Amino acid sequence: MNQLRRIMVIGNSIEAWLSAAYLRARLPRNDYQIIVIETAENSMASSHTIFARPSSKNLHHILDISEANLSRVTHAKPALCATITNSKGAIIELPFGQYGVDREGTEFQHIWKFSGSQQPLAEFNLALMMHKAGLFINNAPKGAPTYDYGYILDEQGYENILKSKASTQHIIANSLKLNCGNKGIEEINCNGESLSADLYIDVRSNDFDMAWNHNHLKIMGGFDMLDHQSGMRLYRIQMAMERLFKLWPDREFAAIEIAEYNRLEKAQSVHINDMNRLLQHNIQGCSDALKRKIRLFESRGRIAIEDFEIYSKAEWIAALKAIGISAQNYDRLAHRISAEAALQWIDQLHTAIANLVQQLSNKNTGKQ
Amino acid sequence: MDNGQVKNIVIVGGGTAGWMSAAALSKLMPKGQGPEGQGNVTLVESKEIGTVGVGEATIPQIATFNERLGIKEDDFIRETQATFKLGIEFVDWAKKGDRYFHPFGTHGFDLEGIEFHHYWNKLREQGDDRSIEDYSINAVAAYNDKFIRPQSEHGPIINKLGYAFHFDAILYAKFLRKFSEGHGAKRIEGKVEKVNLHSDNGFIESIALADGQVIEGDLFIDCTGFRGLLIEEALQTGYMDWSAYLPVDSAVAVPCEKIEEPIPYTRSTACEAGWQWRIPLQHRTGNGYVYCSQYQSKEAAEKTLLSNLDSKALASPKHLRFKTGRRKKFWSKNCVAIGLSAGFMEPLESTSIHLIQSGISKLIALFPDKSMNPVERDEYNRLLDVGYAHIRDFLILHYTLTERDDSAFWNYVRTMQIPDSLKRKMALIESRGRFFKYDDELFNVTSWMAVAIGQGYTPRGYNPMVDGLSEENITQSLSNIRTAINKAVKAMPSQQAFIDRFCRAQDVYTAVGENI
Ligand SMILES: Cc1cc2nc3c(=O)[nH]c(=O)nc-3n(C[C@H](O)[C@H](O)[C@H](O)COP(=O)(O)OP(=O)(O)OC[C@H]3O[C@@H](n4cnc5c(N)ncnc54)[C@H](O)[C@@H]3O)c2cc1C
Repeated sequence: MNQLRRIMVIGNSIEAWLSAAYLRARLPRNDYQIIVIETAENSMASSHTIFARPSSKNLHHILDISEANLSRVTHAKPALCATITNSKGAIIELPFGQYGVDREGTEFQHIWKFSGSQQPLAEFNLALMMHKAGLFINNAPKGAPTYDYGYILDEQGYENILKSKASTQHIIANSLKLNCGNKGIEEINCNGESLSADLYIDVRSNDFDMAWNHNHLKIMGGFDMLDHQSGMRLYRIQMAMERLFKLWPDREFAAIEIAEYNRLEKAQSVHINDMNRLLQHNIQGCSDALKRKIRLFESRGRIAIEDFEIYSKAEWIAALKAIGISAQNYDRLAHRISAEAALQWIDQLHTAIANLVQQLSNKNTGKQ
Repeated sequence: MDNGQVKNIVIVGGGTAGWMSAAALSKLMPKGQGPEGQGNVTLVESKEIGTVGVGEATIPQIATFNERLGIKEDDFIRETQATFKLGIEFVDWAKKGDRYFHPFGTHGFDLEGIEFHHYWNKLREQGDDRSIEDYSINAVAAYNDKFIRPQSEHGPIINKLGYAFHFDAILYAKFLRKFSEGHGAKRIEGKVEKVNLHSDNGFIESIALADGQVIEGDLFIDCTGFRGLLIEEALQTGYMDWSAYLPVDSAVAVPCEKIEEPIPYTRSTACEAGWQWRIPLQHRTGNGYVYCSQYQSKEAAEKTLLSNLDSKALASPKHLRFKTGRRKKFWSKNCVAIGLSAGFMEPLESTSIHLIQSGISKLIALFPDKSMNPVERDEYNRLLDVGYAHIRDFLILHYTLTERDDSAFWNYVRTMQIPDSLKRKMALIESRGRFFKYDDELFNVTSWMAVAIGQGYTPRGYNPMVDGLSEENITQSLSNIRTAINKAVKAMPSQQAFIDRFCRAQDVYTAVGENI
């Protein structure tokens, strides 16, 4: 048979265990052997927490980790935005919810700009407002700006859940050498012993030209603080696993499929790098896609959406505004109502959001 | 105060593109009162020139257009003598005597996160010769002449049913005209004789009509059909010729009498130098033969078409010429080309009306001010570029996969060079039925698999993850899906019964002649 049977995950911490747990959840237990080669190097200076984007709900569904379990073992706290501190010390919040509410097909930020409202745009983002007030409810009330949420998880607790889900053999590698050839990895030498597998998933990498080469799949580990804070540490693994399963290989490792994986991985990296550049306020020499995004936003506050986009429009708006890029104008569709009516509506919405936040906070503190 | 806003939008052309643009802009753009006022829509059309008069099959996305405009589906069906379309049957495409169905909706259900066709292919490799169409509610309903409009209470099987419409193009333009005028669009009858350009920036300043009227505008929408009166003749934008990939360049169309209840799908039959369509409406059947003039004469094409009609022709055949491809820029200066003036990739998958819709919605999303900021224009051109290229590749797929070698035309298309983007997609499909849909790509995995498998390009393997389910389990799951589909279809009304109940056209439209 040409099927893969033995898969080695090389790396440590969340990256390795998440990969192993994902493989375990989706591969029939009797047909596949999964081995984690646990390496010594640390992926990053740990902050003891893991940030999970809203898309992690899908991931946990696949891994069969319930919210209750997550909360019990990892003390999961819901997160309504990703909070980034960039290398210059600036704090940027990327919200998981929309700014205001769209009206008759016109996005809110255009009506806001047209109305000349003096209230900051951020105050129309319920996710951000609740985050600032330290509040949380699962769903936005009807008519309010919608949002989703991710989690802040205790790293050790999360690793423990993933380990139990992976429930697989693991070898602690005191010494490890990969013998690579043209066709990926020929064998590995671990603690002086030669080991081999059909597929090697290496989650230690932070710099590579080719993500997948024959039987050697490299997944970007979370090596910097930005990846950690924006949730990319988990997201990269989740996406890599989803792609891998859509293109699940056999021992032939069809070149065309591997090339497709690499192409998709590259597209994803461009989006992540673009966002990271914005967050670091370092846009010189950026990709054409980011140039387009900036120009289009500057012109009229529109967000260009590219193929295989990762971040939501609201996140891009927050990141662009955070580095001082603002829209010079707005979409003319905003004119479907008069400026006075727009301002009145905007003020009402502002009051409604502020009241909602106040009510929730009263409830939290036991006030009426 | 002129604050640089586009106030006067001039649409030239009153075919499907012109009136769809007028309907959307008059309904959705802010009206022209006060300093913020803009969006006065004027449409100029010429009876003398007329419209192309074809373009009667659509794809499901048209429902979004109607919905956005607040058009009630049943009103639209009644007014345009429309019928429902569940997909396209391709006859004689892979080889003579062969047929397959490209359904809207989906094939089966994904199992364990793996697309359905992988499971189907595994069973096929093991000797199960059931067609993938047996797992499409659209295909099964279509071949049983059934239709129902899916509602949430119908459950998961019927909710997989996707549908579009066949309609009378002339009646559709009339319907949209009424709608647009009701929303304030102004119509001017007249022939544009001259397009006046600003001497400084080359923008279109005005158009001059034969009767001496001069109409000024801030934004011009060229819906003048193939000729591209503004975008090409005036602004000389240039045309990207795709005839090496899509060699058909002519069509002959004729309506014929309705002799039986309309079937809920389009039929496309491959002929000597192209293919023939059959589009059943409530009051008549539309027919046309799209062919390559290099391989067949006009007279021979007309003869082929007429000999294939299933009833009496209602008019004399109408001949059309075109060049497949697209404008190098869809938006140039202060002119946006929408409809045939923007490009035409042949009607095989009924994508032109969708491209009109897509052009309009992108224009609204990127609506400019008078300065016509290149940022918005470039983004518009980029997005449409991508959309056209994806559709082009899907159309080429139908030709390149033929096995036919019975005529010079089919020999050409079978052996022609194809774009690299399509080569890559085909290689992935062939390898193990892999498919990744791009965000702005119109056709999804069901469409690609339907055409590829339908034309004998069945993936050589399947996702090995499928082996995670036992063969018995897969066999049982697929059998359950077939049973559920057959049961659901049995319970559906016939298309005719559904139309009679909800959206039968009032008067049977019998006008002849201009009706094609
Ligand atoms: C053979 C064939 C079959 C097709 N089938 C389908 C299909 O099934 N599904 C689909 O989606 N699409 C189909 N199409 C495409 C579809 O017909 C067009 O996209 C649609 O009809 C829009 O056409 P239009 O409005 O751009 O051009 P036209 O219908 O040609 O309209 C042009 C307008 O411009 C006006 N005009 C031109 N010059 C002047 C002037 N000097 N002054 C004033 N007015 C002027 C004309 O009077 C007319 O009103 C088909 C096309 C062809 C050729």
